[in-house]
Amino acid sequence: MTTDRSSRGVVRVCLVDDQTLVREGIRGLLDLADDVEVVAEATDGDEGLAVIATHRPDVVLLDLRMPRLDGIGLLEELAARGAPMPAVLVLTTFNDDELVLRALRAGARGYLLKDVTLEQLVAAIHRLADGGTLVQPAITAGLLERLGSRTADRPSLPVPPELTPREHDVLGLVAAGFPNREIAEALHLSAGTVKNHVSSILLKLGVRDRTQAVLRALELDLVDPSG
Amino acid sequence: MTTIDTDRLTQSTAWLGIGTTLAVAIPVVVAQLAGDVHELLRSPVGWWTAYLVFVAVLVADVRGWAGSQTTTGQRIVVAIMAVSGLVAVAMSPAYGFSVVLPIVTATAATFVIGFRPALVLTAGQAVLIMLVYVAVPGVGVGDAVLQGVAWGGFMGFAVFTVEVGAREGRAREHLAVLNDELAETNARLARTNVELEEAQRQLAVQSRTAERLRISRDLHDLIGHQLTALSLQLEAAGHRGAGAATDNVERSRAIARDLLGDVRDVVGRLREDGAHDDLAAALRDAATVAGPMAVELEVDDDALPTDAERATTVLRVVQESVTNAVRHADARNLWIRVGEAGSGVVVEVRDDGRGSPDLVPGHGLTGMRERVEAVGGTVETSTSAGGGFHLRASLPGPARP
Repeated sequence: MTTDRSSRGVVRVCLVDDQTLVREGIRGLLDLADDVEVVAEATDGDEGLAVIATHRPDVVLLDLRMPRLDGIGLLEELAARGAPMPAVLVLTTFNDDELVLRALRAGARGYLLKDVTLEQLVAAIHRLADGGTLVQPAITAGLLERLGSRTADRPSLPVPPELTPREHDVLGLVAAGFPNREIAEALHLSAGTVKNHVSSILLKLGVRDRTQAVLRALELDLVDPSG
Repeated sequence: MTTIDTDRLTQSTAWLGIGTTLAVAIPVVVAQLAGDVHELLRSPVGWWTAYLVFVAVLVADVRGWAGSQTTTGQRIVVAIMAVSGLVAVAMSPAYGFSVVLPIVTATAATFVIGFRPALVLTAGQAVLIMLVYVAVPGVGVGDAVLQGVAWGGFMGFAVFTVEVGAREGRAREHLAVLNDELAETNARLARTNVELEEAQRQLAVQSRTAERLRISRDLHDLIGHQLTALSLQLEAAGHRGAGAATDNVERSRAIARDLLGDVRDVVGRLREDGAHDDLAAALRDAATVAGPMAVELEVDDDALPTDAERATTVLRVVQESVTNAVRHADARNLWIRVGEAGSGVVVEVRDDGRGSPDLVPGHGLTGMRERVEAVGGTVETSTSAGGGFHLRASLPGPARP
């Protein structure tokens, strides 16, 4: 009832949060969306790893502060296993800047505060399921600023990499969170060409995925946070 | 100070004894030159031999008077003096000044072998002097006894006088030692007091920080999660359509979101800005030291870390440095600078204390180093005897995992 994406099938979601009330709230909200299905819940990182392995969800909604294995630990463990990484959306109660940044660096594809509206949450889940990111450049730039990370003194890359004008355009849209298919439509290119541009951008920025590319681009002032 | 005076007086007494002894020979020399020495001395050769032995031993042991230990060598010296002195008396019963030698022996004995042995020696000398006079033809027993008692009394007087002086000296020395101990105890007490105040202040800062973090955690854990859940439930309720109540649900949802926003602000302030403001105040607190040491603190506010971990580390470095300076350095001045270094922060500490050629890091310095290294920083120290102590702790910028 809330989106027009049902034609592309139901997105399967796992919910990992130690707070029962919060899990109930989010599940209750997502029950209202026809095209999102919560296939499993977990109360900590260890359980989360198990249900992800069993259910192979499209998107994982992940809390960061949990007992035993926390959200960061789960992300690191997923990356260490080398299996295809599910799209992970971090949900936080508070603006835990440092934790969120660590989660993004550990492979999360986006983050939201937990008291989202149904529309925001469903849109975010679909964007991640489509291969996009939800890094919210304006907020992330502030986050990098506050943590003192958005400075030119990162020793690993003394010279900002040379991107072609086309790659700049693509990077801007990647930073805005769009998946390749939508970038292709916007720039009137084929999906394959966009894919090649993205691969080249990742290579030049020295990062392994789109989220990292956005963070690096923000740090290097390669994209306008407000755009 | 008192010890040196006593020693000097003792030496003067010894030289006075030597002078008096030498004076004894003057009338004898005059008599020799005049050719009538036999009127004074029964045997000039015997007298001179005994006299010179006496003088030689006396001069040789002049340093021994001031010693506090009685050695066998000194006992022998006193014995030789007693024997040679009495032989000199025996060789010259007609020359009364010869008795000066036993008197000097009694005086020296009090210094060298102690009060009681000197008294015994004196009594022995008095008896022997008496016997010498008894043996002299023409001297009655009554006169001989009088001679013995008179000279015995004179020698006893010398022994007692020396002992009274010695006891007074010892009492003064004891008093001086007590005074020194008292001064040291006082200094230790002052240092302990400073440390105690320092510990109290640290405790106050720590409990303030702990209390703030506890409130922040409670807000986060207890209220944050409930409000989030409430907000999500109201969001769902709004979408399900609650008929006439839809408006109320939506307003409730807005209120819940606002409340959560407020809680977020408070938690954020407690965690960050609070830590920042508190850090500046806590640093000033840490640098306020009772006692004679002056602390100069220079803080670049822009350099102060905003995250709790590094802020606490900076505070610990400063607190530990102040404590160390108070406890070990004996410094008059302590300079502390907290400044920016690249994206990080550096704490530089310098004092004008006594320093140390080989620094042995105690628990404080080791703990400080561990804390700094835990946040990726380094601690360098340098010190030399009399050259004060210098410490530089460098912390990197905020953590970038």
